[in-house]
Amino acid sequence: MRRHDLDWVSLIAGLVFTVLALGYLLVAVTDLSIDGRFVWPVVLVALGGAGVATAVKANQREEQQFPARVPADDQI
Amino acid sequence: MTENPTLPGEPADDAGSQSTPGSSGTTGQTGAGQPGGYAPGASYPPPYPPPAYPPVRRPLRRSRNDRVISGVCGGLAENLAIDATLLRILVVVATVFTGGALILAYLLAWLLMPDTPAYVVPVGSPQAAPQYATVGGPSDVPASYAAGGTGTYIDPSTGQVYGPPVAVAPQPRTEPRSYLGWITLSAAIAAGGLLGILGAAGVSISGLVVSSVILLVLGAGLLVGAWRGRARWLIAPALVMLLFVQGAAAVSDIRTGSGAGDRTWVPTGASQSYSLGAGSATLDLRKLPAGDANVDVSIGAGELIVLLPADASVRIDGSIGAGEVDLPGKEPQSGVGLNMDATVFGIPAPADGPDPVTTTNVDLTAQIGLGTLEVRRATS
Repeated sequence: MRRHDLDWVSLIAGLVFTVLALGYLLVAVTDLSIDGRFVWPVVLVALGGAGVATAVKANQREEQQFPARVPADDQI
Repeated sequence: MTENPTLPGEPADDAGSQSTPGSSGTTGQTGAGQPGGYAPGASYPPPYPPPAYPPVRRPLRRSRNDRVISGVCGGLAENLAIDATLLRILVVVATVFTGGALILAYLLAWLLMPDTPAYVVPVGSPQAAPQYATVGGPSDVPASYAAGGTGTYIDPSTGQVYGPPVAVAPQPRTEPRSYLGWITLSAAIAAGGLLGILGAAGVSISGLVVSSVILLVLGAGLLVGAWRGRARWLIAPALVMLLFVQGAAAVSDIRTGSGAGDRTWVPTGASQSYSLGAGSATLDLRKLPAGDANVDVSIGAGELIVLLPADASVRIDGSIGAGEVDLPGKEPQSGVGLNMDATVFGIPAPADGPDPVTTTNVDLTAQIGLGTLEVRRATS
């Protein structure tokens, strides 16, 4: 697997799911409880935010590259 | 396209240097698309037009390069020029929130959207226009090619491909396929299976632990993918897994022993508890004696129907991971993470009068992972 630039979508999604999984494991072994009503909104906000940020960044890159008329795939 | 720095249609700077003194010296001057310069009389395909830049809008076809199930999302993303992963996540989320109705739309799209053809282009046909075509004459073209043969020749020193290509990949990959996602998914399944084996062997492992561990593996795979490999699509199975985790958390005391199927529970004592792994359960309160009673119900996945006699009231303290609540005289509520605290009377309560007098009062604690809770007023 090739090393690449930091992928924010993967990072944020990975963090969200890892933290939630650890939280629910704690719920399973302790008396803690997680209010399920907050879980989905938080997940959607995190994923949506990451998606928006990535799309905006990609859009900027595209606009920079367009004048050069170099297909984006030719970078590697 | 990296292996072909000389695009057809561009002046070939190195073309002249490659031609030997013996060959016709016109190659460098004639420039693009004049292969006749180095092998007069040979039957080469006509000069290729300059390459078109990738069209802004690709036709709506199922993608062959970007495919998880059937390429519907990949093709739609190519057509709309958006990120396919984002589209897939949207589709999964929308599928969850539409109760699976989107699966039908997906299947329909699978049926209706044509597949991207696998290009096998006949030699010399206009379609063979070529990402690999070149200009200028190599000095060491094999005799068969120079004599007008139709074979393809690859220059061993530069890797350049000469001659009409027989197969044109629509979009050559620019980076290696990443197997991180599949590795992670397989590891997650194996981890879940391992815990299942332990559970079957007698170790007490709740569904919450199993689903959380699977979610943890998926999350770890995504974290790795932030720096190495590509595995964004793992977000989709992780979201689905999160639903299971929440369902299991709502019924964290469920054990595999509670079984599956249809149940009818008829409590007769003051305090009773029931649990069901998956299935449909009817809680019939009509046999309860007068007085107060406590009933605990937990269901992993399925429905709970409460039959409430006219002379009774039930106070429901319930939580549903994902599903629907249907109480008499109220609009059904559906969603994720439903919590309720409501009292239902066996006969409709007057709008602004006192609550009906009841002889039996039940405290019902209901936990349902995925499913519905419905209270019906029993007629008898």
